[in-house]
Amino acid sequence: MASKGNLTLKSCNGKEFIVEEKVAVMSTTIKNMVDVDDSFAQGVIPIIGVDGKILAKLIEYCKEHAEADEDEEVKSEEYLKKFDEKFVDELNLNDLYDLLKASNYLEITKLLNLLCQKVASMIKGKKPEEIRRIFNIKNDFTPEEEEEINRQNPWAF
Amino acid sequence: MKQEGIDHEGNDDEWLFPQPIIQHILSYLSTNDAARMSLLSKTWCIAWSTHPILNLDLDDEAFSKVRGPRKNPEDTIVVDHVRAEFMNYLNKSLQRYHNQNVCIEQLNLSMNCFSSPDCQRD
Repeated sequence: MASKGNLTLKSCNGKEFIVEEKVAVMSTTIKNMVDVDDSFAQGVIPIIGVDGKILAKLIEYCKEHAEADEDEEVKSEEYLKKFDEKFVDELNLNDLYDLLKASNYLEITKLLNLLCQKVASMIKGKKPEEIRRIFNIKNDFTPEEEEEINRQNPWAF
Repeated sequence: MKQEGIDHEGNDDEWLFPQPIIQHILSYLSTNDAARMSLLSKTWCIAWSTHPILNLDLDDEAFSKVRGPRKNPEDTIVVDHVRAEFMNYLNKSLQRYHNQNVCIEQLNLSMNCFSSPDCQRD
């Protein structure tokens, strides 16, 4: 049971994390849950579809940013920028994918922006086949449909 | 256990994102890169063609490509050709949003029509 000011988050594979409320409410989804129903603040908040490994990563990110929001002297903008860079650079593709989905579901806007920017930087200048291979995206077009798209924007390909 | 033969750089699961995430990713790309993503899969194609932020920049690499690498950019014929291509793209894009009944939240239009001395108002 979390003490006052703390919340307990439970991953889909049963791992529990006790975190400060200011860290947890970086997620708009959790903030709304706590605001609407006080019992969440007392008990355990289930984080559906997010496993312990990914939840730990999310908490790591939110902790740094919540602390920076509170005290800009200790964690400057420069420090956060470096933290963000290191955070995304260390992710493998599976974690990047899972974190993107989780930060979208939990509405952690800053993290979602960061991750989408990371994917965009990976896509930039690459050919569709290359991108499909990296992200394992299945081509579900018929050859005719593909030709039609090529025809619409001939300069893009 | 990991399947053998999977590219170590690749992702094990197929990246299936909801439209808002894909559109969020597209918003960080140039017109050229974003348009190219429409060829990835149907989901990405729909995300691109209904993207509520429309960036149209005459200086985008997409249109500099139309110019071709060896052509003189000051050449009147080339400038006219690039402009025509850009206007055509602009019209087609706006028509597409209109036909699909899709809202445009933001339209960023950037063009310099006065770079050519022969440029006349249409």
